[in-house]
Amino acid sequence: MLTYDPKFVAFFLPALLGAYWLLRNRGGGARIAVLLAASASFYWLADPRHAPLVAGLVLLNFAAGMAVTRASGRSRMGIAAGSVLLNVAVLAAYKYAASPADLAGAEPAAGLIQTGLPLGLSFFILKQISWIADLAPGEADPVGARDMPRFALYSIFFPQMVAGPIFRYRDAAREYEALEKGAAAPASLALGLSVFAVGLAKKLLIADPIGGVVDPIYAAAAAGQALSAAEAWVAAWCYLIQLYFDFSGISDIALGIGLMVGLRLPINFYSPLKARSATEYFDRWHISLVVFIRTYVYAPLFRWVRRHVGGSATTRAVKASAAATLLSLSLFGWWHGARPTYVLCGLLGGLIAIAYQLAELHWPSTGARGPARRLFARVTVILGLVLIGVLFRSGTLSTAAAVYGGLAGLGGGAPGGPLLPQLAAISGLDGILHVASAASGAGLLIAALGTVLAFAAPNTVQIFDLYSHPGAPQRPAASPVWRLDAARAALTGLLIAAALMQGLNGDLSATIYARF
Amino acid sequence: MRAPAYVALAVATAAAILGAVAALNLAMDPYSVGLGRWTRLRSAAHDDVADRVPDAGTAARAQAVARSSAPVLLLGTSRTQAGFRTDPGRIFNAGQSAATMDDVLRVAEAAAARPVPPAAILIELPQALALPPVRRRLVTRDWPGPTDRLLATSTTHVSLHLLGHASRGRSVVPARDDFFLDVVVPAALGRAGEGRAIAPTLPFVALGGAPRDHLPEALARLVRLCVRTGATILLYEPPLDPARLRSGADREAARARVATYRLYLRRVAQGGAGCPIALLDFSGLPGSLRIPEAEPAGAWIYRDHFRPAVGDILLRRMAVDDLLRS
Repeated sequence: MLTYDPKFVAFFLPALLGAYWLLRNRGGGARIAVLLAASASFYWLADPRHAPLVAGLVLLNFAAGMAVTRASGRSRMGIAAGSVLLNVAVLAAYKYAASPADLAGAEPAAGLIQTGLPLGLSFFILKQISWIADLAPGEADPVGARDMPRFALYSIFFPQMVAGPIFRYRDAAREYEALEKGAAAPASLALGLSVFAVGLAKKLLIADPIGGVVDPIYAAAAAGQALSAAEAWVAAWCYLIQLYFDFSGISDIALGIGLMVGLRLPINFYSPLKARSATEYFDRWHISLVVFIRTYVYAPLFRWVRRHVGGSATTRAVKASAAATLLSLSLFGWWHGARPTYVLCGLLGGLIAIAYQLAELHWPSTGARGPARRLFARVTVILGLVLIGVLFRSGTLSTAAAVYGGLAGLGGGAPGGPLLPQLAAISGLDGILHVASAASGAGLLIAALGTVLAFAAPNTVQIFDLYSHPGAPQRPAASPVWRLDAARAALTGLLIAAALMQGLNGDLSATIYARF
Repeated sequence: MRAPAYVALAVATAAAILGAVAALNLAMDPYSVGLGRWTRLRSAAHDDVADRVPDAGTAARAQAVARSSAPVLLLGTSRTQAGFRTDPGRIFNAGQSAATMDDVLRVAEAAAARPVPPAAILIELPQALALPPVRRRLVTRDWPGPTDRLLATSTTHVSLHLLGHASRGRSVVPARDDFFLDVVVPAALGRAGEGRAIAPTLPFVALGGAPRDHLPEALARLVRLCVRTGATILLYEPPLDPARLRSGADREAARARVATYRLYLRRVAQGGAGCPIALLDFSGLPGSLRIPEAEPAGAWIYRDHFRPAVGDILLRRMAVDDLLRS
C-alpha cells in the first residue's frame, strides 16, 4: 500500500483523519501518538520485511542523538561521525550490494515494493543523518527520553516514507514542536485535502498514463530493437514529463497529508521545467534533497577546498564552487544507486552545472538579457534534462546507447518506427476514454497536456499559497491567496474521484522514486 | 465558505461521482468484463518482453499470441505465467492470472487463426469452476450483485461498453452483450426473457456455471480447434503444492476436477469428434504422474505457484521437445 493506492485513499486515510481529528484536542502527546501509530501501521502494511530494520535504526539513532547532545568536544564529533558513517554504511549495503532478503533467497512480501530495498530507505537514512548532523554542533538542547516519540514520528512519518520530501531536522523540529503545541485548524484540513487531490491527479491521471508510452519503447530498446528518431524523442520527452509529474505528485500527496494533520512539510518542486539555467533548475527540482546536499555536503566541501587552493579570492571561490558542485552532484547520482547510468547522470549533471557557472562568470547575467539568450539558456537546460533523463530511465548503458542512437537518427528502420503507428492507432476515442496506464494512445495525449501544464501552468506552491513551508521560495508580492469556495471544493472532489477511478482501472505502478 | 463545509462538499462530490460511475457500471457491465488492460501496446518485438510489461488482459494476450509464430503455446493461470520460463520464439507462455476456461479458449482461438497455427497447445486445467454459494445464487438469477471487481469503478467499463456498441466489428474493442439493454430495459417494458443477458462466452459462466453447463461446449470448441488446425492439445493438471497435498479438502477438489474433465473429455470423444485430447495429471495425488522435483517446499513461490525449475520438468514430461521436433 502506497499513499496513492485506492485502499489508502478510501480506508487508511479516512481512518487516520477520523482518529486524529477526534483526538486533536487531547494534547500534543495524543496527536503524536496517533500519527506515530498510523506511520508504523503504514510501514508495516507497505514493507513488513524491513520494519524491524527501520525500527532498530530509529532506536539506534535516537540513542546516538542523546549521546551527541550530552558529550562535548572531540567525543561529540566522534559519536556524530560514527553514527553518520553507520547510517551511510546501511544505505550503501542495501544500495550497492545485494540486500539481506536477496542474499537469503527470500521471496518478496506481498507489498508493492518487490525489491530487496526497504521502502524509501534513502529518504529515511538522510533524515537520520540530518538528525545527527544538526544536533552535533552543540546548539540543540540535550535530547531526553521524552523526545523519543517526536523523533520516531520525524523518522517514519508515513507520507514522507515513500519518496520524501526530506526534512532537515533543524526545520522539522520547529514544525513538530508546533504540532505538539497546537492542533491543526480546519482550514489546514481543507487546504491539505486539495493539495492531496492535486498530487493524486498528477500521479494517477498524468504520470501513469504517460508511462504507457515510455515503457514499451524503453522495453524495445532494452530488448535490442533499434529505435527510430521519432520513437526515441517521444520516449525521452515523455519520460521527462512522466518523471516530473510522478515525483512531484507524490510530493504533493505528502504535503497534503501533512497539512491535513497540521504539519508543514518541505516543498520539493517549484516548476523545475521553467528553469532558465542549471543553477536555477536545482533550486526548483527535488529541492529537499538539493538543500540537504547543499547544507551537509556542498557547503563544507566548498569551505574546505577554498581554504586549500591557491590564487585570488575569486579564483579560489570559482575552483571551490566547481569542485564542490562536481562532487555534490556526483553524490546526487550515487545516492540514486550504484547503477552506472545513475552515476553518469550525477557526473554529467555536475559538468553541465559547472559549465553554466563558468558561462555566468564570463557573461554575467543582467536583468536585460536578450530574448535570444534567454531562449538559448532554457532550451539548453531542457535538452540537458532530456539527455540525462535517458540515462536515468535506462536500466543499462546499452539501453541508453540504443535510445541515444535513436535520438541521433542512427537507429535505422522506418522514419516513424513500428511503434508509433500503433500508438497513433489507439490514440482514437478508444484510447482517450480508456485512461489506463497501459493505454499508450491516451498517454501520448496526456504527455502533450502534461507538457503544457509543466511549462505554462502555476505550480502547487503558487496555486495553494504554500510559501510558508520550509524550502519554499520567497512569496511574490502579487501571489494570489487560496480561498475556500464551492467551486474549488467540487473540483477537489472531482480530482479525487477521477484519480481513484484511474487507480482502480488496473495494476498500480510503483512511483519511480519509491525504489530509491 | 467554512472549512468543514469545504471538506464535506469535496468528499460528497467525490462520493457522488464514484457512486454514479459505479451505478453506470452496474447497469452496463455488471460482470466487469471490460476490466482488463486490452490496449497494452503489442508488437512482435515486444512479445518477448511481455513478462516485463505486466498485462492482465485476455484480449492483449490474444493479440500477442496471434502475432507470435511460436510452435508451442502455453495457456493457463498465473501458475503457468510464473512457472514456465521459456524462449517465446519456441514456446509462448500466455498464462494469465485467474484465467477462466473462456479466457483460455479465446487465446487458443486467436492462435488457431494464425497463418501457421501452433503445433501444440498445452493448457493448464482452469481450476475455478464454481462460485461461492451466495454468488452462485445471484448468478443463476442473472444478476451477480456488486462484486469486488465491480467496485473497480472505472471509465473503462462504460467507455469500452459504449464503444463496443458504437463500432461493432470496427473497433479493437469487442462488442459485448449488454445487460442494461438486453435485460433491464426489456424487463422494464414487461418483455423480460426476450434478450439473452450474457452470451455463453462470458467469464462468469465459466466461473459460475456447473461443469455440465460449460465444459461440454468448451471442450467441443477445443476439439473443433484441434481438428481445424491439426494442433496437438494437452490438458494438464499442474502439481499441487505441499500444503495443498496435505489438505484433504484440496486433494479432494483436485481429484474431482481431474475426474470431471476426464468424464467430459470421454463424452466429447464418444461424440466422434475425431481429435483426441490428452489429459495429464501431475497433481501428485495417487495415480497421477509424479514430479519429485515439485515436492520440496522450496520448489514453490507463494502458495500454488511452482518455480520455473518445476516448469522445465513439466515440459520434459509433456515431451515438448518431441513436439517441437515433429
